[in-house]
Amino acid sequence: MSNSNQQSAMAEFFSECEEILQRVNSILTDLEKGADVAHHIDSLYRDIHTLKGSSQLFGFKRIGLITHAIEASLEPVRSKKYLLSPELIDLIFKGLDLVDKIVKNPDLDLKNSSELIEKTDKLIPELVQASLNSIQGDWPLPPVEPLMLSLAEEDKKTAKQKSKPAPVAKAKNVDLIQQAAKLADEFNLVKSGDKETQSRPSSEKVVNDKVANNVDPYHLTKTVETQKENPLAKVEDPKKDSATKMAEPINKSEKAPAPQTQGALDLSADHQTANQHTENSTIRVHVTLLDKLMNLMGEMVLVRNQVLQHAGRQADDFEFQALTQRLDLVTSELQEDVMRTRMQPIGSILSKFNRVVRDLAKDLKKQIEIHIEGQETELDKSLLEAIKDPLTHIIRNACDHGLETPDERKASGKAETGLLSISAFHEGGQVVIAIQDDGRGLNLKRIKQKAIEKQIITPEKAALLTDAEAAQLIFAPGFSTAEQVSSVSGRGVGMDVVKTNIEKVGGLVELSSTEGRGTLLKLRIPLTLAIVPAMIVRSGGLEFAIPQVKLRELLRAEAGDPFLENLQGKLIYRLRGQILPLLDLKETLKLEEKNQKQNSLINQNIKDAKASFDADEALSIAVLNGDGHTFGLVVDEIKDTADIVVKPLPKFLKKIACFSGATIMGDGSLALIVDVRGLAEKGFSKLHQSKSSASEALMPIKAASEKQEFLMFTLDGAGLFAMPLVLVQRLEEFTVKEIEETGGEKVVRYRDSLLPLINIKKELNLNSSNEYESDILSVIVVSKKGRLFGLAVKEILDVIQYEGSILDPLIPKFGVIGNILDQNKVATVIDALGLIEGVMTGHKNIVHIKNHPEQAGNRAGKALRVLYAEDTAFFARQVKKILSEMGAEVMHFSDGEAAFNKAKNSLPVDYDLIISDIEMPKMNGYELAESIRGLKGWDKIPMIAVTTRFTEADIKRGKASGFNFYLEKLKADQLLETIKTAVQEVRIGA
Amino acid sequence: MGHKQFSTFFLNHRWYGIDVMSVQEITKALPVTKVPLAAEYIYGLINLRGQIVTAIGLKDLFKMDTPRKKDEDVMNVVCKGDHVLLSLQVDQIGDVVEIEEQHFEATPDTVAPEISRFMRGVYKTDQELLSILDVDKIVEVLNL
Repeated sequence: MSNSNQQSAMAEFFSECEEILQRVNSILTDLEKGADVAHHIDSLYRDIHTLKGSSQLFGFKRIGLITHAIEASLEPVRSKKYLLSPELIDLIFKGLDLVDKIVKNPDLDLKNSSELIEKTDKLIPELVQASLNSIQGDWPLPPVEPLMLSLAEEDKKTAKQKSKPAPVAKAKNVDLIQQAAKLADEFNLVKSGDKETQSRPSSEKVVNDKVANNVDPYHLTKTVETQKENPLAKVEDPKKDSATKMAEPINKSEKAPAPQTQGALDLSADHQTANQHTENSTIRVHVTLLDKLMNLMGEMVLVRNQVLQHAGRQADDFEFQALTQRLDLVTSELQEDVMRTRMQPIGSILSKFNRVVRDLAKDLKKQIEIHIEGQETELDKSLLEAIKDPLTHIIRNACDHGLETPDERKASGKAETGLLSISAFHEGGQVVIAIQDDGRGLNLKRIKQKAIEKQIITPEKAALLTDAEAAQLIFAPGFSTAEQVSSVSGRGVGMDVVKTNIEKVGGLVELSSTEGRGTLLKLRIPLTLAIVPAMIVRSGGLEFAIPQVKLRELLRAEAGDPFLENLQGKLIYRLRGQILPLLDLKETLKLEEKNQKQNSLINQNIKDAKASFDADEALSIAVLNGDGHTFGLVVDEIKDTADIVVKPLPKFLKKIACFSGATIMGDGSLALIVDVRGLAEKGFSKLHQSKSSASEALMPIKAASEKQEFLMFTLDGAGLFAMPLVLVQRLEEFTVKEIEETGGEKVVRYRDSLLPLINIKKELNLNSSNEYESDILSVIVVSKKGRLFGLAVKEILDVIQYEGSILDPLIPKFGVIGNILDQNKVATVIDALGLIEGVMTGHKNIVHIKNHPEQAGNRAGKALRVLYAEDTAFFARQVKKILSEMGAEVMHFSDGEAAFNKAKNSLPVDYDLIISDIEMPKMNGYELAESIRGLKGWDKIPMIAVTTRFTEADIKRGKASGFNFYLEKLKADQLLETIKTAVQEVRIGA
Repeated sequence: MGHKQFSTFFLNHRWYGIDVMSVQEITKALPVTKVPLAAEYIYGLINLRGQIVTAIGLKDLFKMDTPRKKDEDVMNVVCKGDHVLLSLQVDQIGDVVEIEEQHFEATPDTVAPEISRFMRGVYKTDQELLSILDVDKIVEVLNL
């Protein structure tokens, strides 16, 4: 079986596990609430059994052990002789948690994590004991006969065996093969024609009469016996690495059907009596395929529309007309069904919360009753995934902060048991998930106080907040009111993440709360990600789509509307007493010169403005809600609502920030989708800075991904300059008097040493006057080879975050790396290290070299493959650029450990070269080199260290740990030369 | 030595080529939807059978100082970039040419940087020099 097959089989196994766990958890919760045991036990037992079988098939011994123990402990219950004790349920829950843990982190099992082993070893005897207890009558029910004793003995025996993993594992392998056949059968892996062949040893034969009288939960002993008879048992060697072997059993079971026994009939009977928890006939389809179907469907609808239009012009061709009508119908139906393929009932997520709340209530010593409604409500699969975590968070919050302890509740005259209800339903083309608790509600006073403490808001601003605005503070980043950080919640990450995550998928979070009465949170989620209901508007001859979720209402301001007013030259509308700032779409997008209507309004006073409205003139205003502030968007025409399919825009168009995507309209034309927040930021940029409401604090912090920081400075009228901040040690100021001269070099005393000063302006030949003009000198202190150097500049401005790469200079020049564009201003990036090098050595002809691709590309014939470890984004970028210019393929890792793991999982021939930084998190360069050299077959691969640590001792240590070359950071030419030498040496040597 | 195929076209009567492997198709003029606030060389978006393609005025991008052609006169060279489809708007389409790799040369330094930064190099053919454009470099510059 190929690797990818293996992987997909594994992936299937995991999703299967998750499904089963979810199902089992929900059954158990039902049982705990007093559901009819007889009704559920069979499906519960079967699920555990399946889990056991498939986990062993894939080499998860621990899951196997745990599930086996659970299965065994359920056996007496299943035989309808005993009830399920709460103790047992609890332990089963624990067991399932362990299984869940393994499923989420398979390495725990495959690599025999000691913690896991310890936990299982503790749990299994407990399970057996619990099972025993229920039989012994700690838990009331049927008469226990004299076999109790022997049972107990049998029990101990089993427990003993279980605590010794080896024999059990062996024994299980028989089971395993048989389970494999069954499992494979269920998933259509076994060719049909083979009858369902499964045996459960317990029903197969009976060894111990006394036990048999009861049932036989402990069929382990017998399995050991059967092992001898079963030829299949030999094929599995328990000592072999189960991970690499995992595919085998499937093959085996394909070829060799397991012996058919009575047990099979039992099982199929179980299937027939199965209740609502069993799956229907389903087939697994990859989501990407569904996505593709959706896209194709969209195209088909467009073609259909064109055909319809064409048919309209062929009025006399009746047959064609009839055909197109049929095509129309079929297409519509098909479209609907294709959309439904991605839908899943929300219950699959909500039902989990039964368990979550149950556990929380226990932990928090609260009594909580949970009501879930609308489980059948359907939602796009990707959306379900996206809302899972936020929902969990909200529910944890409700349990921890919202609901009170029984005592507190009693004191305030409420029922001791708190009520948490979750309901999902459709409303206005969206799915609404309402989470309501009858707890203490939000304490606005404390929220404000906390927000002030956490410096989210100033006391002055806090005093001005309305209740609704104050409640919104809980969505601020870093906000948490829990007095103590509990394990449940209160770690300061919370509602802000909920809000951003929900908004990311185009949803909304609504909050309402009454102190002392409870809190209601409503999540409004679009039905699917791909299809968004939108309002189509027209402005300046272009069509735009505004997502409905952002749209509050539509207004039409006729001429002479008394609510349309002019405020400080800006047009506003008084909407039910609130001031609604207006933004003209045409103007914001610079689609044409300022709107005539507005011009006239702004230039005249209010009364005149009103009078100047022509009778037929009116403003169409769409009232939008963009991230906390509401504004009116003035458009030329409001057209219609439409369900639009969102198509992403390329990166360089996303930068405009006013559009979140594009869509294809029914007639094949395109419309841009308005990004309401971006538009508001653009239109109200000035307004925003002075805005005094909470929403300012609530602006989510943009992810600082892929951003580099640059220190910006000036050099006397020669424009703007920049230097990567990573290079900067300190910023200092000296007076000109402090400058001394030694050996023709300008220095200042600095930290008990001399700091050589370099006048960048002079070195770059920017200005002939080489003296420092002002009395105070700004100096950027940079370290090179362990020595400090001062770069004198005119003025240090700021540190900026810069996204994107550095542009090559038009003309390569000494001391210059390239240019960056900061808010439309160009800054020259100084090659500080090169500059120092040049000045110190007198070789000022070193130019930051850009290599031509053919040099290396043609020579090597095949691309050089480089494994590269570097944690600083700036250097990584530069080196990657150098390498890719010479045609190399680079695998970059931002710490040593990641790079090592990659190497470990690759073959030495996969790479031609390793380049590494020295100072890195997790595993530094020396350790990386040593580790790689320690791998088999990796002793020959050339390794180059590129670092700023460049003392003699460093170099020596580097060479000792396995580096062939040790280079100073960012000398492109030297790096290139070294790479060539390194690769050649090895190629010749080999 | 291998051969390489290039899809060629003309801008102001100068001859340019793009590796056929990065060209998806060539189409006549298609309706373009303007994108407000975008750079001037971004003509807008095109609906190409349900895919959204960004139309790039190559002459504007190269800062060639000629009046923009009427929309219906341009041709579209639709190229696949990194996660993006670009339609390069050109004057005229040339043949697909097959050239031996040995005739490849690096972009001479005399080529204006406005254009050379998009170029991979030059091929000498019997008639003329063919400037090879690199779609990835174009995307890279657009993303800056």
